[in-house]
Amino acid sequence: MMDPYRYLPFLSRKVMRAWAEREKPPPRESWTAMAKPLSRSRVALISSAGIAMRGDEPFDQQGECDDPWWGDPTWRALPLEVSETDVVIQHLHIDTRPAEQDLNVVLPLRRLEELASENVIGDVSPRHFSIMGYILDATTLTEVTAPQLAGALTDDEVDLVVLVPV
Amino acid sequence: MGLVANCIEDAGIPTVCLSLIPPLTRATGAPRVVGVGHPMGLPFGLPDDAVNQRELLHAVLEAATEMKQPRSYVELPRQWPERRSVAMREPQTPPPIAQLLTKKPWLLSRLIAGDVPDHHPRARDPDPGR
Repeated sequence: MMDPYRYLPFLSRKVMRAWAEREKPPPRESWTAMAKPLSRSRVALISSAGIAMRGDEPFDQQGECDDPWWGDPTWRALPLEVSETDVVIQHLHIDTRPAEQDLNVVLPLRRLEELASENVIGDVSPRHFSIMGYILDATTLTEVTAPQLAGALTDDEVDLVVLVPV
Repeated sequence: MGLVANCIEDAGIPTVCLSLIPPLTRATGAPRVVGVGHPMGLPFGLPDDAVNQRELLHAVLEAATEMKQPRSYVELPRQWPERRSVAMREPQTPPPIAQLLTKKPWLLSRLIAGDVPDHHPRARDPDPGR
């Protein structure tokens, strides 16, 4: 079994362990069965790396510097063609350089295209999404951002979403 | 990410969460969780390693198809190729919350308890048009 805290610095390990032990799963279980086989499913990705297109408003790092208890709870859309040269990655809790070198590290769209060409999946959604994962108060995330993402994914007729943490 | 997954699932679209810290993701009650022992910031492995990136993505997708009930979990057996000290890439400067806790260590209990002070004035509703 993996040690889930292996790569965390001391302080993060302590905090995350405490959160995991304290958190109680909601009584209601979310579940939607896959409607189609994978080979006919349209797949979309959501990354929590804080990725925004150049020209879009980047995730608000200054806000978090001003108030460390706050993290930007908004979301951004990313077209399928996006690559590392097209984006600004704003996330103060990770080393963003590997993702800036190769966006597939956090948003493996080229790999998804390869799997589509091999008929492992049906096709790749034209649109993918990012949030920024450091959010201590999840109110806006769950009440505004997530429903908007769900709406966008429904509009795009997505059959399966892969959520990718950092 | 588990909280977002639940909401998307409730809207009628199946989801699968890759997780670097499975106890945390599973604690949200997320429907399908796939754990992988990769370092922070490197969920799909090292840059320019297309073979391993594709293999992991394929494994995550296949795992999702095999999960038939809520709160399913599987852990993928993968060895990270670097020593732990090399694998632990930290941000170039410590995050603001870590800097704050260095100055005011008594706030740690507040962070652990999730006792977050009132919203920052910058907080506002997300605008999909951005």
